[in-house]
Parts: sequence; C-alpha cells; structure tokens
Amino acid sequence: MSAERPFRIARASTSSRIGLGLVGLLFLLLAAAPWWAGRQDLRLLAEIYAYIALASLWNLLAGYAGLVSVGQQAFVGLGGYALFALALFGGVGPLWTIPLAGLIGALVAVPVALLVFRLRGAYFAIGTWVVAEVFRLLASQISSLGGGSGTSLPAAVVTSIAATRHAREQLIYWVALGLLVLVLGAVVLLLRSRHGLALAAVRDDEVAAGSCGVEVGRAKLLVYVLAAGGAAMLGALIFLQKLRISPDAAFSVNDWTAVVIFIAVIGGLGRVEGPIIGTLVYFLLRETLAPYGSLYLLVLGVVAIAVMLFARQGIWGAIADRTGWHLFPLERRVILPARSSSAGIGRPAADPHRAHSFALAGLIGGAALVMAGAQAAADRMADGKGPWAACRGPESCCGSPAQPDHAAMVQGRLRPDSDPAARGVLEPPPPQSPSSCGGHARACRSPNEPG
Amino acid sequence: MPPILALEGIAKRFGAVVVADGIDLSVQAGEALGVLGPNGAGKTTLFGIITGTVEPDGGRILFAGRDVTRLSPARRCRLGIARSFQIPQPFGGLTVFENLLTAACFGAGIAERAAYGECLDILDRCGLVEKANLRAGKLTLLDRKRLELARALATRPRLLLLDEVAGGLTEPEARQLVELIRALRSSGITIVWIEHVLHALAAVVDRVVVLHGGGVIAEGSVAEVVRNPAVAEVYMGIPVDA
Repeated sequence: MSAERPFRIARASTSSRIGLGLVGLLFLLLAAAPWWAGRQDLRLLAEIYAYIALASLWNLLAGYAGLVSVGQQAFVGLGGYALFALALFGGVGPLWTIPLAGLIGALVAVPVALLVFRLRGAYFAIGTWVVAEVFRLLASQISSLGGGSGTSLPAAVVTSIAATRHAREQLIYWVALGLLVLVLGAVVLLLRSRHGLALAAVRDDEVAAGSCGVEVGRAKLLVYVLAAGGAAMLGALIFLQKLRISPDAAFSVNDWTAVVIFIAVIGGLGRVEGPIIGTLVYFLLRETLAPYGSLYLLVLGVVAIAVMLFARQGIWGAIADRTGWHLFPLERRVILPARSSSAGIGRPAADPHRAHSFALAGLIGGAALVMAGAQAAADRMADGKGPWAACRGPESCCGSPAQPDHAAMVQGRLRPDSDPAARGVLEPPPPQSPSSCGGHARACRSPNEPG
Repeated sequence: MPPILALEGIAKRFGAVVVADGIDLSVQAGEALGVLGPNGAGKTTLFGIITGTVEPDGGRILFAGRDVTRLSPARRCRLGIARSFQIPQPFGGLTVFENLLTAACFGAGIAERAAYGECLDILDRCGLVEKANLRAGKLTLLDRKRLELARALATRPRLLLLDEVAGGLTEPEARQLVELIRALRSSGITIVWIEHVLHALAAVVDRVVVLHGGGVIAEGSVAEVVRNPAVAEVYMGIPVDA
C-alpha cells in the first residue's frame, strides 16, 4: 500500500511554462499594438481575436461536449442585435452592451437547449441551424432595426464610445483583446478545474463518463450556455466594430460557423491550443489568397480535407501527440520519489519536454514571423503597390456595407474632416475577403444603398 | 435488511431479440455473485440496465431498497453502483491518474485534492501506479482492463459490477486479480461478476446464475451449475441426458 507514500501533483510542465511565458509576452506586445500597428492591422488583429474566441467556444462545444452545432451564428447575431437594440432604444453605452449581450445570449440559450438537446448527432446540427434561421427571420421582422436590410449605428451613439475615430478604434481593439483573454481564460480555467475532467471524460466516452458519476446532460447544458453567452458577447463586439448590422450579416452561417468549424477542425478539436493555431492558419491563407477569389475557397477546402485525412487530430493534435507539448497547464502529473518499485515516475518525461520546448518557442516565433509577413503583404495590397494591386476588379473588391466607416461616411453620418483616415472614401476600399463577399452576393451591395 | 440489489421482472428486447424476459434476481449485501451465459445471453445488457445506460422495457431495479429505475447512470454511480466495461472504455485523452480522479470526484463526490492519495492507492493495488502519467489511450489492452477495474473502484462502490475482467490474463495475473477481488469483497463491497474464466470465478463467488434466452436457467455454486444439463445444453449445443 502506498497510503503514506509521499507524492506531489504537478500541473505545469516545462512546455506549459514556456508556453504561458510566450503567451504573456505576446499579450503585452499585442496590448501595445495601437502604438506600433496601423488602422488596418488593428482591425485585422481584432478580427483574429474574435475568431480565436469563437473557435475556442465552438471547440468547447464540439470538441468536449460532443455538441456539433452549426447554429452558433444564432448567438453571434443575437449579440449583434442586442447591441443595436440596447444602444438605440435602451440608451445603454455601446461598450456596456457587450456584457449585457452575453447575459441575454446565455439566457436565450436555455430554452433553445431544451429544444435542440432532444436531437442527436446530425439532427442536432441541423436543428441548431434551423434555430439560427428562425432567429434571422425574426430579426428581419424588427422594422425599428431596419427589417431585412438592417441599420447602422447613429453617429451620436458611435461618438459616445470615444470622440475621435482614432480613440474609438483603439478602445474597440482593446475590448476585443480583453474579450479574447476573457474567453480563453475562462476556457482554460474551466478545463483546468474538476469540471474539465468531466468534460474531457464526456469528450472521450459519454457512456463511461455517465457510469463514473458525471452528469453528462448537465455538463453539456453548461457548455452550451457558456458558448452561447460568449458568442453573443463576441457578436456585440463584431458589430460594434462594423457599426452596421443586417439579418444576413448577423446570422451568416458562413462567417460565424463554417469558418469557425474550419478553424477548430484544422487546428485540433478537443485541445485548447487548436483554435489558436487554426485561426492563424486560416488568416494566413485568407490574407495571402484573398486576391484569387474562388481559388481561396478551393485551397481552404483542400487544406481541410488534407488535415482530416492525414492528421485527424488537427495540426496541434499532431504536434502534441509527437511531442507531448502543452501550451496551457491542464494536466495533472503524479510525481513520486524514485523508489525501486516505481523508479522515476513523472521524471523521464521531463527530458523530452525540455528538448522540445526550444523547438516550441521556435515554432511560435516562426508563426509570429509568418503572420508579420502576411501583414506586410496585406499592407502592400492595401496601398495598391503589391503584386496583387490588380485586384481592384469589382468582383474581388466589392464595397460592402461591412466596411462600416466607409458606409457611414457616405451616408453623411460621420464627418470626414474629423478624421485624417477619411481619405479612404476617395480610394478604392481595401480588398474584402472572399468569405465576407465572394460567397454571398447579398453582402456585396453598394454602400449607397439606403440603410 | 433489504438485498443490496433486486431486479423485479426486468424485460428488454432489441427488435425481435429478447434479451431479458422478466428476470428476477436479488443480491445480498456482501455477497459475490457470478453471472454465466453463452454469448448473446444478455449479460452485458443486464449490467447496462442495472447501471442505467440501457433502459428496460419493463420491471424495476431496487438498490438497497430504493427504486433507482428512473435515475441517471451518474446518480446511480453516486449511490454506489460501479461497473467495469467488457470492452475497456478509458478516457483516452486523460492520463491514467486523471481517469481515476474523474471517477473519484464525480462518482464518489470527493474534492479533487482529497482524492489524490486514494487514487494513487488504487492504482498501486491494480498494478498501474507506474503508468499513472500515461495517456489512457496509449495503454495496452491488459492495462486498459486494469484501468477499468481501478476506475470503478475510485467511485467508492458498494456494488461492483465486473464484466469479464479476467479474460486474456496469464495465470499469475489471474491469480493476482482473484486476490484483489477477494480483498475488495472482504472490505464489504458486493460483487457481481460476469466471467468465462470459471476457475477464477469459482475462487471468489458463492453463487452463480446462468442466463439464457432472456431468463435465468440455472442457479447454484459453480460446481453445481456446470453439472446442470440445461447449462451444458446451451453451452455445448447438444442435449445432455442427466
């Protein structure tokens, strides 16, 4: 018996210490981005944060609770509409609508869960999608929010965030970063706790989890409500950045679920790190391939198929399987003093960890470099000097209402003179990603269309 | 004192296949009961019905006098019913230690830190302590079977349902397992054990029931039931004259 055998439970490993250190450094660097990055960069970074957060929440749903939802756009859109409704009719400060939207999303998720949890597997997926479509149709009935064609945030509300556009964009950027930290932090803390054990058990084997005392249904409900609340907060943030909302954009299955599934699947389902890696890969592909129109979607498809055929656990899954790396300290490692009967438990694994940790640092650094490279390429594209300057064709760069300030200025709601960057009106708008414009023509209306 | 487990008229059919046709069975606290029966006799389904993963078409399940027929598997586990799976179902992404910790936290309702020592203890008894930090998905089949037993023990069961835990063990390993199960029994855990390895079963249980065609066709000590002509018939497929 080992009742008196001394032991220790370690949570952190070398790779997780290095990983957390790097994450911390990266956070500081990104928090200072308004001082080193341009407007477009901030916008892109905020979008990346939103997608990492959305994919992390979807990963919690599908990767842990086994809830393959194709309807998370229901809550993203709900959050967006909560922002507009609260700001326009409730007089709530736009930033304060974000937590309120989260609350609304979580509350609405409870009755929705009662409905869709009666379905399993593919039926659940379709059911969630149907719910999202119902939400979209309901939103198009709200005539005070523009009905089917949507509406924009009035200038008075926009300026209540901050007086100048520069300050406003900085603020929204930090809120986006803060929200990412909140979502990732919540996911990591949840998975680190005993509830994380329960969720991992449900992920690995539902029947066995139930037989070990885990209330599978309750765990799923908790995850569903959390993911809905998170998605609604992100929806409010996303449409605060866009300043314009319409049912089709708010409840878009392409933008808020298909892309998110792509990210989670190629990154690695059931792993916290997966959505981060997946988002980086997605934006890398998007930013480099955007000018090529439909080719971009083909490449995304090929990548998704290749990952599913050759690395079913996703990119991070394949890496972690070979190396044992963990960016976040979720594991519990038993460390017993070396004895003849149990020599070196916990220790032998430490060496490969150390050997690999430098490579891990290199990998993350490399990814950062690649991102920076993509960023530079994107900047050149925006300046019209890059090799892709020819992409000014109407089909690849539709002036979509998703370019909010542009739209708002055309409508005379913002004063161009208050803002040096207003020259954007005179220049062709920067190329839109195919995801927001190539896929569905509805989003590619003229900015002059009445809102 | 009521029996710790009582099945009353349990019925279950999958389409045209009747796996339980009004089974009555009772197990006294502290008893060790063996369950025999040819493949497809419904032994594992019966475990599913007792633990709540399979819903019976009719009948009641009483645990320590309490009707648990409508309770979730998790509730039944917390009351003290634990099982091992015939085909091991470890939580493959968790370490061996975390597998036990999950069972201890949720099945026995112990706080995580308070469960550490007990889980290591169980791992030690089941011969898995060296592999505490391995991912359960990477274990060999034999170790997975050990983990099944260890994880069930971590839920602090009063009634332990074992589903073919001795199959595939070498002779010394089987002897170790028998020792372990005997020790569990003498610590007060009631055992119901499905097993084809008869000598292992005979070394532990007082009584066996033989299931076939949805009902109990024989009952008694191991020695008695193997001489039973009805049992010989279902196992050998030939009528045996007594």
